[in-house]
Amino acid sequence: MAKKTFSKILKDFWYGKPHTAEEGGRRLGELHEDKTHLYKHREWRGVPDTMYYFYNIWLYNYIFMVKDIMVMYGPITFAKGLWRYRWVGQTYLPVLHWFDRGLEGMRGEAMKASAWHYRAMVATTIRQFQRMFAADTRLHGGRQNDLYRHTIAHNETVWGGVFYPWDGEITNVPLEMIPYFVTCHVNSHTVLNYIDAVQSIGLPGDPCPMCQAEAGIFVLDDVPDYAPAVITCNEACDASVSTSTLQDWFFDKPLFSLPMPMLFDDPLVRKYVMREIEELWKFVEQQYGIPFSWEKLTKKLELQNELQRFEWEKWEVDAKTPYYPINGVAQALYRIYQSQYGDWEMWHVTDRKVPPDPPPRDRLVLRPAVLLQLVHLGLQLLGPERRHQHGLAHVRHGDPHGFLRAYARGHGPVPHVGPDAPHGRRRHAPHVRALGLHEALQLRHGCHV
Amino acid sequence: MKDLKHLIYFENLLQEANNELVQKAKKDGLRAIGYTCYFMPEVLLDLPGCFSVRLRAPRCTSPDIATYYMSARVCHYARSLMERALEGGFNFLDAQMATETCTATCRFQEHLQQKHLDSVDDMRIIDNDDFFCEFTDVPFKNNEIAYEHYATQLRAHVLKPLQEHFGIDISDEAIRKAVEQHNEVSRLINEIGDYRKLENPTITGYEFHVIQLCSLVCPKHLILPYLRETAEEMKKREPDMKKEFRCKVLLAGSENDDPGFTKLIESCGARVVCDRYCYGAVESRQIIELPDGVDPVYAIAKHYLHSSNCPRFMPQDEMRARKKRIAELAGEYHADGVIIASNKFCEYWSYERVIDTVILKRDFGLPVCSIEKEYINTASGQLRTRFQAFVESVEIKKIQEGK
Repeated sequence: MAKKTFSKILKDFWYGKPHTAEEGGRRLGELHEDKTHLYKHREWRGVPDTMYYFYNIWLYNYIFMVKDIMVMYGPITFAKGLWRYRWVGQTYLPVLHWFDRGLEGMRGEAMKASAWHYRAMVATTIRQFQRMFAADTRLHGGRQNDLYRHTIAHNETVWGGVFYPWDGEITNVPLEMIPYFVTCHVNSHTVLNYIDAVQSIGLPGDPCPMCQAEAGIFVLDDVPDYAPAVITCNEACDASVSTSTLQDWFFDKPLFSLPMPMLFDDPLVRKYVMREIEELWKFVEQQYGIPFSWEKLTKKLELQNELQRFEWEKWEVDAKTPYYPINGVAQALYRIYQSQYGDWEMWHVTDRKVPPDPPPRDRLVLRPAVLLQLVHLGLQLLGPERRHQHGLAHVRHGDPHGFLRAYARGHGPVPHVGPDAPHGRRRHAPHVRALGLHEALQLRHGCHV
Repeated sequence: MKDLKHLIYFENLLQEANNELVQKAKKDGLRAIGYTCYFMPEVLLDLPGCFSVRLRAPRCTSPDIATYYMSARVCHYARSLMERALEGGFNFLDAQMATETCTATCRFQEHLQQKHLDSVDDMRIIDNDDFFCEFTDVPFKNNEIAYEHYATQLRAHVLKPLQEHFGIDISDEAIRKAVEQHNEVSRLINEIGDYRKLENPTITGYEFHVIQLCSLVCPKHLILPYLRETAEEMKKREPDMKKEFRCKVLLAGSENDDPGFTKLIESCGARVVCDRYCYGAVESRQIIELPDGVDPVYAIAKHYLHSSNCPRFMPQDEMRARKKRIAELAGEYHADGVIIASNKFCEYWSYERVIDTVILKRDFGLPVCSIEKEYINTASGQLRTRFQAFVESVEIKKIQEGK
């Protein structure tokens, strides 16, 4: 008996505690102080994964968070932004805590793959806020510099791909993604200040808190003034439409609203959307004086298609194996980032897992398609088996991170069919919603609906 | 003032969606077509052979079953409609012409479209074999592209289904005839409503609210004789010697089909002289122009997008024009102040109300009372206090200005 216990302790030490309840479980809740979200201690994932986590996730990301700042517009730009905008200070340093929460309980390749997705998100966050700060008139004595004149602001619900015709000339930066959307993932207390602000001018507590925070950040003037024009969109909800009104009021600069149809599956709406997108392109040309380029558009769309194929590969693993390539948080947020910012080489690097030159030693993560082949051959490389196969369809909520994590603790990681999943991001007519979700969850993920 | 001859009759018509005139029209073989939003052009539902009914759920104060299906965080109006539908109150409907113009009413109409509740397969919400529900896509902008798109949608999702299901004549002549009827109703409502512009109005906001609602929920051809008679009666109506009100207000905001709410405001000393809210006459009773040689469906689509002041419109010029429009109406109707009311959980109007409250005061110098209310006014005590305080503040302002 003692030998058996000792053997298990040794095994748990080397490999980490097993996932299933039958084998004792990881009891992740015990990592926290009772009735708080404070960690008692870091999670022990076994020797190989803990070492990987420390060197290739924790340390690697801290180093690159500094390096990214240095190479993307420099530390002075960052320091100015940090000093001026409340959300930066509240969320920059806790980033690795965000990793800890998101990757809690994970092991093996799934942990590594999820972490690389997180890494890509951190890099693009830095890239976006540094661009905001570098172009920000508030940080440059009211002066509109060249970066300002070549940056366009847009609602986070406008796909970054509509700016592909100006690739390399105009940089699109979503308005809300970094100042409030990501910040509430990293530190959910950040947005309370903004919600208070908008309620202080009379907004009732009824509307969704995400949109309230989005509006409140404008009330407190806590958004960089980094672009001469703004693109808004009616997606994803009524409150989001309404926040555009507040944004217009506070920004008071040229604005184009891009309307998306509600009956998106109706073939009759295509012409309408096409014409509105053309209007948007005319608006950008007028505002920036830079001609539209079909060549750039088609080139970037090819790259975008490649990203889409990668996404489907991940879904295939979800659907056709009892394993998951990355956790729900990584899948959902990464997709949102891709959608809002548009194509970027970092996405391809992360998705392809093609070792860059020189190849770092940690690029052990395999492309989902390769993993799928291996699983078919009987090799279980993907990390713990799913305990249940659940899909999660939902509207946006203030803390998807925490929610998905809590859900995953009980049920295993989930395929995410939120508003930013490939077929999401719009309100559906009921038959479409039924068909869309049914198809996604049952056919692609093998769930019972 | 002397009571209006048909006021009690009008009030009774508002007690049920399936009122006396609706029943009569149904008996005559006409099809009842329900709708909730201004963006579903009522004139197209009033083609020969059918009639429009803008849905209401009068006296619904506790939508318990609907809350179970729609959650407590959905606007009370949508839940009340659902409750009334579950009670069988809308079984007279032959079709529901739906729009996804706000999420809450869209969800209600989705339940109708499914014909059953998710968990109860054999339960038909609308117990009518002929019933169907069709959605139309409504653009968020007011431009040429939107007019064309909207007209295409109306042809495909309103006219075609009406023709296919009920054999309704959807020819240009039939549409022009429906527009003529609509314009006559609008002229009469405007004629009656214009008495609110008088120094001492000869109609109360409550009375007008009742009449306007009747024109929305009753078959047009059956309500028209009553409207004509009321318009004639109004010509001779004398105001009271002593004013019954202390100030005039414009009421703006979200969906409001509760005349009791207008009555509550007026019982606090204000006279509601203009109704710029959803279900009000400012938008819905404008004359539709059909120039010769223009496709009538296109002209109707343009009219409805152009005349709307819904906070759903997102373009910059529209957002700013809405505030100006309220200020202009306040001037036209000689309102001393503005009451902005939004239904609880109405996301569009929650934000619009906040901005209106600040902008109207700051840029146009209008006193504003900003309130959030339920669909059916149950918090009358608190609201009464708010309105009394507002009336008092407007009075003080007038005294200070030497008026």
